[in-house]
Amino acid sequence: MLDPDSGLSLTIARIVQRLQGSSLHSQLERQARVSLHKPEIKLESLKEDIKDFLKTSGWEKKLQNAVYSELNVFPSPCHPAAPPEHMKEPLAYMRKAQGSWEKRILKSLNSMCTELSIPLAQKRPASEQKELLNKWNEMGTDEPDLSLFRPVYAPKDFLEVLMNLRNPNYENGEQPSFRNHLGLIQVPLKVKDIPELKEDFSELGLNTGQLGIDDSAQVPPEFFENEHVRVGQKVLAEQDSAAAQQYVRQGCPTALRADLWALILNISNQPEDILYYEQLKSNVIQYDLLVDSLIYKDVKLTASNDDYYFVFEDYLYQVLLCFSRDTSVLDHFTYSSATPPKSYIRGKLGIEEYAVFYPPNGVIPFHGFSMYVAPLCFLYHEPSKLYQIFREMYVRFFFRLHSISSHPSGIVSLCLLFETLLQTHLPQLFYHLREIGAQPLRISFKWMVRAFSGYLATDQLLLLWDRILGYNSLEVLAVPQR
Amino acid sequence: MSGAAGPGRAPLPCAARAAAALQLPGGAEAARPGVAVIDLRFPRGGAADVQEIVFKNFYTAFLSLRVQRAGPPGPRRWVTCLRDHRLMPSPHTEEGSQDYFSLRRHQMLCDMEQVTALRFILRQPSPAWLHFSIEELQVFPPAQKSPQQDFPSWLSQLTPPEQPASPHRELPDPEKVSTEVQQMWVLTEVIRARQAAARIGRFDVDGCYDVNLLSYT
Repeated sequence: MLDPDSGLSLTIARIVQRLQGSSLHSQLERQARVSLHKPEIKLESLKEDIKDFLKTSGWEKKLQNAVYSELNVFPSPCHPAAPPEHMKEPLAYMRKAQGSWEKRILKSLNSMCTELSIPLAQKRPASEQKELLNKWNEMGTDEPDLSLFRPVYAPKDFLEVLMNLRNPNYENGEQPSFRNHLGLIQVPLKVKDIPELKEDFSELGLNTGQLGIDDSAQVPPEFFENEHVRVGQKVLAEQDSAAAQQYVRQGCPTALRADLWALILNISNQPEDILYYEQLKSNVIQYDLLVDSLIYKDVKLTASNDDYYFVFEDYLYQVLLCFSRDTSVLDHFTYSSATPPKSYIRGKLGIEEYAVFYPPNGVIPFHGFSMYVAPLCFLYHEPSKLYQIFREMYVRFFFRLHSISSHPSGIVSLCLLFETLLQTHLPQLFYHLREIGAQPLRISFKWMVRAFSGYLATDQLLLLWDRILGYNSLEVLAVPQR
Repeated sequence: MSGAAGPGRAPLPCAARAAAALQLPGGAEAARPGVAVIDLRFPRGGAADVQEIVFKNFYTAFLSLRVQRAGPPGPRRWVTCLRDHRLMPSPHTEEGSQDYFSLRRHQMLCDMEQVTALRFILRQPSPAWLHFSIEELQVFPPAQKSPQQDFPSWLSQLTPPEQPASPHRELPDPEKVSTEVQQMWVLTEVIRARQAAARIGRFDVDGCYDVNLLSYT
């Protein structure tokens, strides 16, 4: 493995490189230059004085939050000898399985294209552009004919692929033995057992107060709730990402949740972020993608039919259509096992200068994708902030739920963790379900792929997502009971 | 391939024999033992100093390393320099099974000077795996010192020596002020020269994004 010293310097170099071109960097420079006018900055101790000034004015904290965010999102650097695909996914047979799964999706999309004779992407005529701009805030009232479109895949198709995942170097004998797992997942990934989970998720223990349980009507608020809210307000005042992440492990008070999540995800909604969102919006107006119809269909099938989320239909279009055109999402493919689909401009097949990614963000939505956005609509009402929160949640967590990888938060590990815990904790239930031909994973898989969105009441769902953010891990999704 | 970074780092040429599983003599059928050995010798019986060994694991759980050193004439002894180094934290599961590893000189139990042969003893106690080995084995000598090329040398000469400010002087020392102003100027030059990593955000090619079908390659 990587030497601790060289690992640290590699991490530092990577973070510096990523932050160097960012708007935070230019803001810090500007602040430093402005501070030169201040009387307390002396020429003899220029460096120290500017550092002190940045600390007292809160800019050092912003930098700390940015560094913390980078550490959370990017995995630790690989060995220098490792090729880039190793960072995406270290196991060769999983890379291969992900590649064949992606090929299936591409074939499905291509065949839909040819059947319907619709191009994957084209520029909108000017009249259509004007029309769309006018009804940008009420795209839900549109009733396009989507009967010929079908979702590219549904979670159950993905489950079939995961069930057939095998390590060619593993003794997958036909005879039942300790090597064959009793559940559906047959790959020997390392998953945590109960003692390890208890240690890692110690704040969820019975002796620690939790929102959602210890703030119910029967419990007097002096015991836990009041103090917890007070601490939350203090954390927000300090604007410290790391403290916020620790705090939400016990749940977020509803009034503070939006700000706390924005702090943890390091979203500040600066003018340049709003401008970026407006640029994405103009991309939506200008170009028409086939993926848009898939998004429309998905929203109509899932979120619009949901009692809690149908009111947010218009928001969902505004977020998801822009998401498809956001090239900054391509960055996450360095640490995701997936690869963005490629294509060529019409008539220029094979010429590399005309190679493009399709869709521009490289993510093809599946049935239920819009449910990742829907719960966030309860927290954020400004479209550009809602968009940024969703995008950050996707590149940190949600992408792992629909790609094949050996990562501990990847869907394969979550499924195996769920099955192992169920076997250990409730063996009779597990055995009974197997006997009647209802493998438990078949029931719970779609809950985990959607991160329980649409399957739990919203207040409970948001408490669950508090823990995902707090522990920076999706493992809480797999634990059958708390 | 070799992504080994750093100037002056070329792997030593060596011939590695394929992993040979150890068998008990007189066995009727070839069992799958959990031990294999890889021998590595330098060409033409040469010897070299070894700084670092880099390899890719393939389901080996523990690694031991023995070396033979050039020494006084006579039967050469094998010296153990690494004993049961753990590569896979949990041999029944996938963790660490296909990762890249580095073995450095400071981790070894003995000196790695004038090494003539290396013997890697691989152990995989779990019966779950069909094969185990290590791949892409590379041995590196101590690196040569390379001059720093990152920034111009005159930059480093500008740092003024530490001098406490005398409280009894009326005016600041002109030399000190000019050094500091020079430093500031250099800093602004460096900042200006640095290119910001601008996110273009465009997904079309020359204003055109007419895409028909996805490509499979």
